[in-house]
Amino acid sequence: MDKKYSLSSMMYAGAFKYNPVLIQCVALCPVVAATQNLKDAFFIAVAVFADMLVTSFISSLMLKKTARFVRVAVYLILGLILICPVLWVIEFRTLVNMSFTMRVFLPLVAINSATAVHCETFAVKNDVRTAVNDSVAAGVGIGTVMVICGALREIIGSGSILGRSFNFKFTLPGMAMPVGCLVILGFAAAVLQSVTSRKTKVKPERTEVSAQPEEVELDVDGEFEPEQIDIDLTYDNDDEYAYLLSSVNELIDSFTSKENSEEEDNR
Amino acid sequence: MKIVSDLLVTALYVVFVQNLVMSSGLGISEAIRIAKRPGTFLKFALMISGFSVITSVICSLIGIYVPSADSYAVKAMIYGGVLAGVYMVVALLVHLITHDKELLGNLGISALNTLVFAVPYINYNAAYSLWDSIGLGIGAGAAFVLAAALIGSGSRALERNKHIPPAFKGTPAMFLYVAMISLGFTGFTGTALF
Repeated sequence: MDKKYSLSSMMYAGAFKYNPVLIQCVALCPVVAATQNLKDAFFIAVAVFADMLVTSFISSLMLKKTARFVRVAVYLILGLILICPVLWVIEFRTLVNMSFTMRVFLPLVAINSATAVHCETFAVKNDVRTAVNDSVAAGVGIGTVMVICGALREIIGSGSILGRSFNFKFTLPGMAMPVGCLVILGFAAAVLQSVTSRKTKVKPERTEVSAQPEEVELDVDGEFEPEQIDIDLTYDNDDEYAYLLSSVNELIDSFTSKENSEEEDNR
Repeated sequence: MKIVSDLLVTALYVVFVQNLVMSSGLGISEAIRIAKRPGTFLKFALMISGFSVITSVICSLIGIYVPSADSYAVKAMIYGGVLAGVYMVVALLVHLITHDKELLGNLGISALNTLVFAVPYINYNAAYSLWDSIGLGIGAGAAFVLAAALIGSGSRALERNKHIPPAFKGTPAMFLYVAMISLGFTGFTGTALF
C-alpha cells in the first residue's frame, strides 16, 4: 500500500473522529480496569503510547515479510521488552509510589488490542513515517480518553484529584469499578458522536465520496462488516478519506483472515 | 472429590459471581468484537479455556521453582513469555497441519488478550492451588462467552430500538448497556457502589 497521508488529517481522524476507544472499541481493558485515578491513568496512557509507537515503528521497519500469526506474538514480546525494564526500575528504585493496580495492569498494556490492530491494519502495510504518524494519532486518542476517565473517576469516586481532597459531601465509590468507567465512556462517545456529526453538517465544502462495491462500510458502533457494502462515506477532504478508507479496509482484512490469506500464501 | 469441587467452585465463581470480563474489564474489547459472531462462541470458549489452563499451570510450576519470580517485572516477563510460547507452539502446529487461516486468526484473538494474560496473576494473588488454577482457566473461557453472549443480545436489541437519541446510537448506547451488565455483576461481589 505505502501511501502518504498528512499528519494533521491522521491526527484528526485517528485521535478524534474515529477515536480508538470511543469509536473502534479497542484498548478497553486498560481504560476500564486501570484508570481509577488520574496518576495511574497518566502512567498507563504513557505506557500505551510508547508501546504503540515502538511496536509500530519496528513492525513497519522489520515485520512486513513475517507471517501474520508470528507477528501478533512479536507484538506481545516487544511490549514486554519495553515495559518490563520500566516496571523493574519503578519497583526496585521506588521512583514512583506505584499502586497495586499499576503493578498488575502495566504489563497488560503489552498485550492491548489497540497495538495489535494498528500494527496489523496499518504499520506493516505502510512506510515507517506513516506508521509512526498513525500510532501517534491513535496513542494520543487513547491517552486522552484515559486521562479524562482517570480524572473524572477520581473526582466523582473519591472527591479528590491527585490526592487533593475537594471535601465533597457526596461521592460515588462505584466509579472506581469498571461500571463507572463504562458510564463515562458511554457519555464521552455520545459527546464525540454529537460533535463530529454537527461538524460534518456545518461544513458545506466537504467532499462526499461513495464507497465502491468492492470497498466497505464503517459501521457506527466500531464493527466492520464486510458483507454490508452499500453506504456513503463522508469526509472533510480527500486525504482524510484515503487514510480512513485504507484503515477500514485493512481492519476488515485483519478480522476476516480468510480473505487475508493470499498475501501469506505468497510468502 | 475435593479436587473436583475446588475446580468447579472456582470456575463457577469467575463465571457468575466475579465475571472476569464484566467485573474486571479483562478481554472486554475482544468480547465486544466477538459478540456479533454467536456461531463462534463455543470455539472461543474452548480456545480461551485451553490457553488459560495451559499458561496458568506452566506459570504455577515456574513460580514454585523460580524464587526470583516474586518481582512483578519478572512475573510479567515469565507470564508473557509463557503465553507467547504456548501460542506459538499451537499456532505453528495449526499452520503445519491445517493451514486454516481463519483458525489461526481466532487463535491469536483467543490467546493474546488481557483475559488470558491476567489469569496467572489472579492465580498468584489469590494463592490458588493447581486445581483452582485449572478451574480459573476453564471459568475464564466460560466467563468470556457469557459476556460476549450478553453483549451480543443487548446490541441487537439496541439496534432495533428506535427511541435512542441520535447521539447515543451505536457505541455510546452499547457502552451504557455493558455498564448496566457490569453493575449487575459488581452487585454479586458485595462492593459498595454508593
